[in-house]
Amino acid sequence: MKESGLTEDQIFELVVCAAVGQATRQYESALEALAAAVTDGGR
Amino acid sequence: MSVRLKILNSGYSIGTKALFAMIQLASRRPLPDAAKLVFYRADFYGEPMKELTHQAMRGPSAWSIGDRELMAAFVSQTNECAFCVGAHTATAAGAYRDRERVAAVLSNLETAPIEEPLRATLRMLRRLTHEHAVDANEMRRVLAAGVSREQIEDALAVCFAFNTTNRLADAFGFSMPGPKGFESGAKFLLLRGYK
Repeated sequence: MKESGLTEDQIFELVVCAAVGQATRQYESALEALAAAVTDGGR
Repeated sequence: MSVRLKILNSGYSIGTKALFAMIQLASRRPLPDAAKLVFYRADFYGEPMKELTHQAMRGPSAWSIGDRELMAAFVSQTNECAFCVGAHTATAAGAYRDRERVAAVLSNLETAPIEEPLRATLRMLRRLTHEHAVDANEMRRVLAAGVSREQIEDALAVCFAFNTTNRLADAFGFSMPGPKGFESGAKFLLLRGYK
């Protein structure tokens, strides 16, 4: 990444955004599944 | 593959560097990279992440602090993040005052002597972390094990925090502090939390 000409600050921002983005996709998927389970007669 | 950024070693204000020196003097250990990271451009990442993680790990919940630290260690193990496994294994063991319980879960979730609701929740967190999604059937199994909707939401917040932190620890190549360093970090996290 450094060889591509990005600054360290740009790399920092990209890595943080990628990590938060992936964790958010997981979290939202799980909340949707939970809502579906509860709607279908969970508790 | 990790990239060790110089800015995470030295890109701090004089005030922050002085704070690091004081903490190092008091703890007689170098500040862990996880702590340094949240001070770098704190408005962009550190401050919101500290608040979120503290709420997830120490906020009101039907899960104990030990349970949530165990979830953190377990998610970190699923992601093969050695730094976070070491840190949260030590913290969970301290919170429970039971090292064997934590070791048993990390060794084999299915045979570990833990409560079924916690086991079902950890199974779901492992699948979510590994496959990036879970379906309603998976959630029904957790609910059927006696876990409330609120408990699942609380566990998902822990999972979110550590799926983020694990990626940063590995991407930025956090240094491994060794057993004494992890013990010292665990004492701090149990005393002060994540703020």
